[in-house]
Amino acid sequence: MAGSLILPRPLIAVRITGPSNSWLRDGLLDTGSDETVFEQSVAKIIGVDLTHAQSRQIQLTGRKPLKCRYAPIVLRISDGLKETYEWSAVVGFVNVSLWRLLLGCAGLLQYFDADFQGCDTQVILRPNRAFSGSRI
Amino acid sequence: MDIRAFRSNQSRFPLRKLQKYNRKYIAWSPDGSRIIASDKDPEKLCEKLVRRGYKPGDVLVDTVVLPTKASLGGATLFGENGT
Repeated sequence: MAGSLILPRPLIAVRITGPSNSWLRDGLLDTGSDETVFEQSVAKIIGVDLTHAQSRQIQLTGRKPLKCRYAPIVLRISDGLKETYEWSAVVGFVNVSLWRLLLGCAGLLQYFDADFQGCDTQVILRPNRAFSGSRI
Repeated sequence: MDIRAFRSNQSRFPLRKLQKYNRKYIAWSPDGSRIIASDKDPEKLCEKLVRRGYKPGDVLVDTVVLPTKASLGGATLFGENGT
């Protein structure tokens, strides 16, 4: 991989739905992230009002602590053929630029068992017994 | 959108063309073979998609950051007390 311009990363397309809109984004499956965190622009696009949202300080690696606001949204992932899963989750929104959505434990990985297949550079997600959403 | 076919097409997109979009948000065509819109601002990209008749919930948006730097973790999140 040394010298390569592109490194393989565990990305997955996630449809994020709020009160007024949906937005389909690639996100990074991050087992090191306790939470699922999006940049604040996502909230604006899908119509989530963060004015009175609960908030707390969090720390992103390499950054100063910053305020994260939390709101409920709906997430959907699909292989486009046979399996589509949709569920409600409370996710965090931060007012900094994140090049990728962070798909962490709370909100996403808590509901799926993930098999990271390094040789094939792919990840297989299977809903686990904590998943309380729906298969569409 | 068949995600395997999409990713296969997306991976064949020429790197030299992708570099034109460096540090921008990009929207991929439904089959992953083309970039249909881009902008440095995600909200403006969303507006462009709507103006062109696309539903933002159906068009995959990603970012281009080249060259990819090695990372030691996406972004580890801790509570206020660091635990």
